Parts: sequence; C-alpha cells; structure tokens
Amino acid sequence: MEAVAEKGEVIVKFMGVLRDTAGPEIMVPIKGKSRISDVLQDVQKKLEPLMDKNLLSKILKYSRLVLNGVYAPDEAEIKPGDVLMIISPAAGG
Amino acid sequence: MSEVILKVDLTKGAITKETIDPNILKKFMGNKGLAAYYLFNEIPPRVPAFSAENKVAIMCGPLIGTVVPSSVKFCVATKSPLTGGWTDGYASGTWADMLRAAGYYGIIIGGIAEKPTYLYIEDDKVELRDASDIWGANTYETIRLLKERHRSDIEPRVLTIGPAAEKLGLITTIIAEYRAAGRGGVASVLGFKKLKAIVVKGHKEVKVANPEKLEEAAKAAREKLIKNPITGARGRHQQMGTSNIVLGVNAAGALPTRNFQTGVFEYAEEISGESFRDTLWMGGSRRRPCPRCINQCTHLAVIESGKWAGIVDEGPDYENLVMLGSNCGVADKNTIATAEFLCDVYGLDGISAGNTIGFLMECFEKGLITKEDTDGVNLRFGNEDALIEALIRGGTITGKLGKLVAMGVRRAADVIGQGSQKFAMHVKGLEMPAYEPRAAFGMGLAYARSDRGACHLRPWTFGAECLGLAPREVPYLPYDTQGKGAWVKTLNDVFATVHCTGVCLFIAFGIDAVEDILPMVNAATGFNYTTEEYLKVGERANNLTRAFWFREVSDFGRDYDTLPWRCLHEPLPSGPAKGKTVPLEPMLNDYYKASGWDANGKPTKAKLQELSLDFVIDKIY
Repeated sequence: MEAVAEKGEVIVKFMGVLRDTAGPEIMVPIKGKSRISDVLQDVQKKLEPLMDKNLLSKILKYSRLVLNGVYAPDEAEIKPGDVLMIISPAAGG
Repeated sequence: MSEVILKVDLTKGAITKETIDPNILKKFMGNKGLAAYYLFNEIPPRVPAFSAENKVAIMCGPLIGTVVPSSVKFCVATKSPLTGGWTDGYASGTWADMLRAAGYYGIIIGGIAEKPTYLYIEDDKVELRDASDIWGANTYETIRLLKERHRSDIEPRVLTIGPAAEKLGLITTIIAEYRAAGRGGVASVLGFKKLKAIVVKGHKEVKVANPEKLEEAAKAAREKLIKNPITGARGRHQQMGTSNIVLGVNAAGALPTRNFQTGVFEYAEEISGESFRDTLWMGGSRRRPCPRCINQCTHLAVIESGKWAGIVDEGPDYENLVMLGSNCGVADKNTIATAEFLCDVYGLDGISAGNTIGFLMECFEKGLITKEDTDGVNLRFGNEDALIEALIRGGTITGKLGKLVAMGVRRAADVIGQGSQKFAMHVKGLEMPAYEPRAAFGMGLAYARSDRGACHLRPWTFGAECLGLAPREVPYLPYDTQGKGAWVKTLNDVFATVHCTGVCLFIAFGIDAVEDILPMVNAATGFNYTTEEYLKVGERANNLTRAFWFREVSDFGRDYDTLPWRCLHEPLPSGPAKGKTVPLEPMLNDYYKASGWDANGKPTKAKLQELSLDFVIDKIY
C-alpha cells in the first residue's frame, strides 16, 4: 500500500540499490521552508543504521532526484505532501 | 602468445588453420578489433551482404576461457544485410570457452555451401558435415539434436541459426548454447551461406602468459565484484538481472512505451524486475550464470499457469522485456517471457522484433494498415495474442504480417509509407533498443553515431545520466549537451576495449576497465600494454568499423548519424522529460571533434595514421 503524506511530511520513494535497503518508500517529516538537501540529510540519518555510512553518502550524492515528476536540484524547495523520488544506482544493459 | 584461427571456405569445402601475426594480435587484441581487421581486409568492397564474398567472423578475446570472472563474451561480425554496413554482436554462455579449449581463437567463414552444412570441431579435427536433416529445425531443437549426436566424454557446445535466418529474414540472431548474439541480421548471412550450426568439443587448456599473475589479478577483481551492491552476492543482478532497472528507467521517463510514443508505462510495476523476481524467477533462486560469473544476471523463467504454461526459458533480460513488453503495450509477464522464448527458438532479435511489432501496432491503430495487411490479426497495443502471433509469423516468415515483421522497421515503413517513416524507430536501419533518447541526450548521441546502428551499449550512458552511476554534474546530467560529445567518445572507446578483451561488459559495473581489467589482459597475453596502448585498441576498432561504413556505402557520412524524426521533432508528452527532443547537432559536432574526424564524420588521415590504420587510408580517400 502506498504511503499517504500527513501534514508536515514528504514521501520519499526509492529506485535502485536504496530500494533494496529501505523499501519502496518512506515518510520524512519537514519543518517550514525546506530544501531537497535537508530531506537528503534526513534520509541519510534514517538509513545509516542499514548500510555503510560512506557508501550511503556517495549513493545519495550520485542519485538522481525527481521532485513531483520533474528533475530538481538539491537546493529546490520542498513542501509537505511533495513526492521526492531518489533514483539510486542501478545498472542494466 | 600464439593464437590460431580457422578459415572456412564453404564453396570449396576447404578449411585452413592460420596463426595470427603477433603484431596484429597485439594491435587488435580480439573480438571486435580482430573481427574488424579480418573483415575489412577480406571482404571485397561493396559486395552484397547476401553473397559468397561476404564473410562472417566469429572471434574470441584473450580473457575468454581463463580464470577471469565473466570471461565468456565472444563476437560475431559481418557486413549486415539489415543495414548494409558493419555489425558485430556478442553472446555469453559456454560456447566460446569450448572453442578456445579446442585450440582456436576465431573462425572466418566465407563462400556458400552446396547444401545445408554444419561445422564440426573436435580439437584438431575440423570438418564440414551434412545438415540437411536439421535444416528447418528451431534453435533449441537443433542444439538438442546435435548434442545427442556428438555427446562423448564431454558435452558438445552448439551455436546455431534458426528458421528465421534460414529464410533470410533480416532481424535475426545466432543462438549459442541458449544465448543470443545479434544484431543486424548476422545469422541470416550464415543462413544464406547454408551454414546451420557449429559444434565444438575441446580438451585443451587455455594457455596464458603468466598464470600466477592472472590468478592474482582475477582474485582482486572477484573480491571487488562480490562487495559491489549491484554485481555482488544477492546484489541487484543476482536478484533481477538487467531487468532490475525497469522502475528506474520508467521513473526517468525513458521506458519506451507503445512504439516510443511516451517514456512512462502505467504498468511498469507489473513488468519490473522486482515483479519477475517474485513470480517467474522464484525469488531469484533460478539463476543460470555464465562460467566464473559473479553477477549471475540470467534467470530461468518458469511459466506454471495460464495459456503459456509449461514454457521454461532463460530471461527475459531488460532489453527484450521492455521491447516486447511496454513498447508493445503488453504488461503480462507470462506473455513477455513467452515472446522472448519465441524469439530465441526462431532466432529472432528480440529488440528488433519488439520494435518492429510496436511500430506495426501504431500503424494499425492509426489506420495505416488494416487486418488485410496483418492476415486478420488485430494488431493493437496491449493485445497479447497479437504479439505472440506476430512473432510466430515473423519467425517463420509466414503471410503478409510475417514478412513485415521479418524485414525490420525501416523496410516495413518504406512498404507502408503514408508518413510512417517519421515514427519508424531506427538508426542506419537498426531498430532502437529500450532507452528513450529524449530522456537521456547521451543515449541519443550514442544511438546516432554507433557503428552498427541504434545500439544501447556503444556506449551505455544511461546509467550515468539517469540511474545514479555518476555524480549530479556536467556532463552526466540527462539534458546536458555541454561536454557530452567528448565524454561519449571516451566512453565508447573504453567499451570497445572491454569488448575486445572478452569479458562481459557488466563486470565493468563493479570493477574498473583500466585499473582492474588491464592487469588481467597483460597477464593473459604477455603483451604488457600501457594504459594508452590498451585504450587505443578500442579506439582503433571503432575507427576501423567507421571506415568500413565509408568504404561500403557511397554517400555515407553525417546524414547517417541521426535519429528518428520522432526523437528530433516530437516532444515527449509525459514524465520528467516532458517537452524534450534531442538537440543532436551540437553534440555530434563535439563528438566528431573529439574523435579526430572531419565535419562529415570521416576519420582524418592523421587519425588513421595515429592509430596505425594506414592500410585503410587509400580505401576511403
């Protein structure tokens, strides 16, 4: 079942290697005016117990960020109810 | 190292053995490089692809059959009947190991046999044998029959063509031990030559220059691969193979859907690697790895219920899954797995087949063709039975629909006309694979100037652009054009170099092409390549195949390095890339400049001399 954002939360969805670690999605609380980089910091904290800290940091630095269906930079504003998709490393052919 | 190739003249029934000149071996190394060297020199200029004079090269790389992980990729190359230019395809599995164990590095095949024939190789014994009784058999049946016939102390390895190639369809592949080597209709050239199969049995050890150093380097590579979350133990490849990226590609808006009309498929979850893993692949527990492979990306699909119950086959991999799935509007996993099975048994290129059928579905829905053209098949997107029927007819070249499928998308569009060429998704006549270039401009450039037509691996930029394999910065972002040309050129040369070594490209996701693979190449060959010499092998191969095009096609040049009209003029309607088309020209300019090519995309004399390709100059100037 898909998560529904409550007031003050964004939905963070995962593709690639982070999906194996964190599952398809998590909810991240935000306060006031926030940016994607703030959410990434929270994601880092939430997932640190699950994988190597340095690897996680690199993965988050490399991942592609899609906010509400559009690529967005780290400094983009994010508000409650937004959906941030983190496309983390994966390889096919 | 001393390596021997077989030269087979099917017209004369003659077979000779030739030791490769060590200088040539060092310069061209193997696979693509060596195949290009022999075919450039041995195919007379501008002979038809379907002619006795055209030749097929089957070639190994120096790491094949050694202790190196995933060292199994061999090359099949020829002048393509589909495109009229160069083509080379690769298969993994166990066939090439056995060829090297028989003592051979490659086979060059020319002429035409009087009757259906197969090549039998058992160490020093090499013979042409009558294949009349297996002509017409599908690929899996041929493999079974020839294994039964030649099984002795060891199991023979069989490479074969299917019915589609025998009947000279143009979108065919060779099947070697259940693995496909496409694209560009290479199998059909063997069909024209009436060579049905090659059976190999070998008892020799593959010799390398420095076994201890090779084991040491291979061990280091294995350790890196095992630790990597993509290539390692229970990594994404072991769980889902290349299909692990379906959801990521869809999220990037790049999943070809209904003949590339959009890059977002509403049933992506249904056809995702995760969904296949949890159903047909039994949690990833039915892997069918290549020898010495850590990745283990191939999975056995078992269909246990429904109308396709009983089918068991390897796959589908990402490319076939998408082109036979979302690109045809099909979301049923059993149907997609069955469709790939049919491609394998008929010897059809699954990418080209899915692309062509998707195109025909769009033509049908737009009223450009009717049931009269499809022999009564209701060829609508999402019609699972229609997809299967189109593949059966295309694989056997039966009726009007079968002929349209078998001729590939460019020719089908020429037959149908009515403006359909605008959405015939090919480059140089080769059908586009499963990445939407409007959502990743590097892939657009890669497709446009690839040496075999639209190819997803020359190079594969998509992972860096959209799947988090490179940092979020220029030139890796999907809609950047700045720096893309030079980056694609460099990456393409690296990919070609890795191809020449004989390792699977997929291990380059977990180890470095230079830092890790070069020491293994040097230990195996004893050539002591410097980094520059090593990377020049790929660049040399890419320039030689480029020269092949210039020699074979009188008006070849920049106009051929393009994309379908849809990619250049029709904005994507949805997804993160909504509104995008590919700004090709500036990237192409940069690519040519970085390559040392002129404004028409022709390698300059200076570049050819720099790469020791002097023998090419008077053939294209």
